[in-house]
Amino acid sequence: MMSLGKLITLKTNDNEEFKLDKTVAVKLEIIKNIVQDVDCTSNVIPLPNIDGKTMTKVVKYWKKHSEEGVTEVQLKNFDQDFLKMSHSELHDVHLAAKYLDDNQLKEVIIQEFLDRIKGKPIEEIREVFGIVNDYTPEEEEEVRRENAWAFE
Amino acid sequence: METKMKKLGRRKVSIPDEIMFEIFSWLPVKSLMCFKCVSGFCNSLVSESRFSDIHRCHSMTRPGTKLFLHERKGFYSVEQEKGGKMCASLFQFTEPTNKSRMNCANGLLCVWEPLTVRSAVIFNPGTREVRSLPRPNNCGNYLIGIDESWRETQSNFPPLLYGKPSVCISGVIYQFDSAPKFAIAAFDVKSEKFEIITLWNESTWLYFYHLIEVKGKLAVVDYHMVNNSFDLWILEHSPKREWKRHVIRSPSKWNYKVTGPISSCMSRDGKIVLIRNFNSSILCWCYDLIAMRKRRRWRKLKIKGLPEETLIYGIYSHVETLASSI
Repeated sequence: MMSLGKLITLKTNDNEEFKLDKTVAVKLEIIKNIVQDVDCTSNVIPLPNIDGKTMTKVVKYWKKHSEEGVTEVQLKNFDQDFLKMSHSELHDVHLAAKYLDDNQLKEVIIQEFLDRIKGKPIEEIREVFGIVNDYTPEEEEEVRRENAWAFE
Repeated sequence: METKMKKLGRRKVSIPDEIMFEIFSWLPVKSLMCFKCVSGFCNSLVSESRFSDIHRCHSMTRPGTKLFLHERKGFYSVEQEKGGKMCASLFQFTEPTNKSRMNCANGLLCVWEPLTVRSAVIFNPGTREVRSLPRPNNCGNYLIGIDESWRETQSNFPPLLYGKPSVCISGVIYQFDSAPKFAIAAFDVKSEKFEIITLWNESTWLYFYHLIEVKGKLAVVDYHMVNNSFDLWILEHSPKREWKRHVIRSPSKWNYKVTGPISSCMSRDGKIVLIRNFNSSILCWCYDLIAMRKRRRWRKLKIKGLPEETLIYGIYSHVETLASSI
């Protein structure tokens, strides 16, 4: 199925533009809907919730995953590399995937988060999610004592 | 809730609560119990009922077989370890006696002793929460509970025949009933109404029957073996309510000399699991009902971590839950 390179332009909130093959772009529910609504090929689709840095990553992921003849091993290696980013970058990509309604990307990222926090001490989990500990030392001690068995 | 989140959810980087919610909802209960210590926000998140509902849905889809065993001297949870081995770990939440009866629904266990003064106990193996139930005034069963309050049901439950566990499917409890004839009593928890479901024949072989759930439908496995096979009867609802028979070949190394009751359950991942006591140890098999028809066969299960002299009274499917009442 050739679409003869019909391009769609996505514009992020910091005015970066991404030209995407229509066949890649319409895989996403949200873009498909916009394209159908406006029937725009020359027009630009604005993405008010995503910045250029994050979109670069998302587009990189889409392109690889829609490559023709790409093997499963190659995709696995790509994903492994792709996910090597900081916690906050990972959060940004997750938000973008959520906004773009890309379930596959969302799942990949959630799994990565789960892998990052699995079996980690509490301090590291605070680090991953950027959570400020709002317990007083006494409160924390109490909660820890109540759930001591779970730390075994 | 909104204000609670604002108050407790101070972060260094802005990570939306929904992402935390989503990620946490995929974690096993034990990790969540640890994560309560991360912050007050995490603690309140885990306690929310909206969260525990979604978490339970995700627990249902988690791969692996999880079981619970009622052994003569204790209660064991059995989980698949990495590499596929089944491993049992002991839970000491109540002292079992030779009169203890156990039942399991929605990831919670209930242990009681008929005809004694000890009150029934509900246990959540995930959160290790234990609750004692009030004693009922008469011998009819109670067990209608909304959070803190329990009251007795208007109608009396039939006693559990041969200690065979009941099955709970979408708010209806099914169990065998012997009076006036062998049948299944169905109790709708919401409407508190009873209904009697007749069996496919006037059988008196109830001793060999086990109630299970197959894809949301009520089913009976008949372990009374004829021609090296068991029968699985599934209660179909459409076009009309009728029992449909499926024949399952028995395990290839089935030892006919072993007598005594079989304990059986349907695991959450679609396997019929059965256990027989044999020479102070156990024989355990599972049968994958979800697999392609050609691949369906009995597989022997080895369970590590049980005491040397094991006697199993019952086996139950286990789903993790954060809830403490059904």
